[in-house]
Amino acid sequence: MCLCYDDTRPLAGRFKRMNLKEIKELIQLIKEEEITEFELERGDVKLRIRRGAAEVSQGADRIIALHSATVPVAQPPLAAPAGHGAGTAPPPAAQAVPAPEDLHIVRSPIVGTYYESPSPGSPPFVKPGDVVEAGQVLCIVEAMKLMNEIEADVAGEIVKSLVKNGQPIEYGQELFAIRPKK
Amino acid sequence: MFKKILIANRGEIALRVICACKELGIRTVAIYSDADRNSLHVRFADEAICIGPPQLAQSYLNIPAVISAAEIANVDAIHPGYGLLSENANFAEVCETCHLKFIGPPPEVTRLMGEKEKARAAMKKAGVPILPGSDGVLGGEGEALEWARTVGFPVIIKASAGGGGRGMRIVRSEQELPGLFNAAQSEAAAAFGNGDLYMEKYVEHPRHIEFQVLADQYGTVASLGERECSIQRRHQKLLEESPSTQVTPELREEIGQVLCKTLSDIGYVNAGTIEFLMDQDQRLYFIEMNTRIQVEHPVTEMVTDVDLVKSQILLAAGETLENVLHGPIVHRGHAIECRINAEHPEKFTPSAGKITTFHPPGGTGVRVDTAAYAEGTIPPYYDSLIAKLIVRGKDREEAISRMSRALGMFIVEGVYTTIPLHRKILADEEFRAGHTDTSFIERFFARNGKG
Repeated sequence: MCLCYDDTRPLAGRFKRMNLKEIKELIQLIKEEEITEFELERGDVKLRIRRGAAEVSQGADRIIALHSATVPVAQPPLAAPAGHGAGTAPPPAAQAVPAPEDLHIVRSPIVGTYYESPSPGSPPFVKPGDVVEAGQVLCIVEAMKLMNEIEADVAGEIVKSLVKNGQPIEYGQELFAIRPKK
Repeated sequence: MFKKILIANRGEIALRVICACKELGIRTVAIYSDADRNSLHVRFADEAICIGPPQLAQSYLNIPAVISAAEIANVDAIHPGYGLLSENANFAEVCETCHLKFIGPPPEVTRLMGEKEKARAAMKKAGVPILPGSDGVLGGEGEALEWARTVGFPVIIKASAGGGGRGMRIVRSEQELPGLFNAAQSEAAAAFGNGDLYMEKYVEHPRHIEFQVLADQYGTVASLGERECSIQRRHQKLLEESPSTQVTPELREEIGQVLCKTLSDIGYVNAGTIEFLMDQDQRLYFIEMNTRIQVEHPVTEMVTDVDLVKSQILLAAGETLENVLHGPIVHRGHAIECRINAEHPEKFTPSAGKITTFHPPGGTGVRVDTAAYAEGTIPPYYDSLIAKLIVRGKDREEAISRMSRALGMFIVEGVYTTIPLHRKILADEEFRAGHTDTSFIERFFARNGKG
């Protein structure tokens, strides 16, 4: 593949067709690199190859998705660098906690400190098992000395609290898992 | 010395500040929006906090979110970078109130320099040459004529209430003045509902020359020389260099002295840049001051061997300028910077998306400041700067040859970049001869058949 940096067209636009030889080479590559799932979109061609899943591996499955340069930004980047340096006690990054399909996750809209009760010593706003209405206050996030009430965005049952009292939290941090009312 | 600093910025400048902190043994906290989750500045900071969705107003410009992050991470100081909140005096005040050291000048100084008329008046009073102009609004044709005679033709009449070229007329002689004055007045009244006009000397084909300063908290100021940034497109700088071919050692010394005294009197602290226009007689006129680190700061770093960002941190921590600079400023060689944007090199349309190949150049005298990487994505929400390519040579000729070589070895695929444009600029005869001014790019496009 020639790197023609004088050519101002993005590379992906140049190759629109795939042939059998390329597909065979890809299959070989997937075998050699022990890739579990492979997806490729090029022009009109979309190719997905999935190897028969045996055991569930502990490390990240090598799932590789290649898209042309025109795909919107929302796609996860290839082999994204895993997290940042070994920091002690940073606010936990908002990792995607694998939630079953029917649970709704309430996320923090602001950065701050999480408090489960309206004031120290008083009972928490909610606990697992409680049924809440949409708009009901679930917790407080304190930011710059202001106590911000965080409301449920759906009605349902609190299944799990995902943070600890007094924990620093970031924007988008998962706070509660709610089973929405049908 | 600070133990932990929060960087209130993103992209290459956030990474730049992180580099300086790492070298000083200071812990770093990055903030990021959802769109920057996989950014290099997040990767290389010791801690990182997501503060909002992609939109600037809800993330990087969201002062409560930034301060809240600083509080939960327990930082001592905030470095604002450039752009964003770096010249926001309110933000600097909020930092002070929250006992967070803002790495920059005091809020009242930022405020002073932010109000153009006040800054001009302060500079004029201090003896810094400013663009001559009327004292406020023109009372009529007659007054306009008097001012024009004092200031000297050509002059430019401008609308007080607005810009964008409307209510603006360049007047080159007494005969033209009444007609153009009235035209400007009607246009201003129609466009802004206010026909008030003022006048300034009009500099034909000016060069853009700016001076870099550093100041400690004890009143000592140093000038680190100039950068020439005349190559601009729509007021956006494309290329910068130091020294300027038009600034003599005497002029550099003279302006340097005046600036140091003036800024000391004003109570300036930390890094700053004073912008001038230079006319065809090599006279400088003050335009405005930027109270922050600038995008093109590496140009000065390359010719003076002073780490400006480290200096900012040390000065904010209370160090004296003497201890920060370790001796007099010595200028060596010639440096050029090209701002590589993710834009089509001819149409200048922004090109967001995934970078598939990224190979920056290296070798003697080459520096690349970037937060881009292969397989990384350029989000569409922020500016299009993806890399700064800076070279230093023993003289301008070597710097030009080095920059041409380096541009030719800079490979970026997956998005459009302005690298091809820069290669053409570097090959341009007028550029090589040093005939640069703020209308260079128009002439360049005319020569190269572009718009």
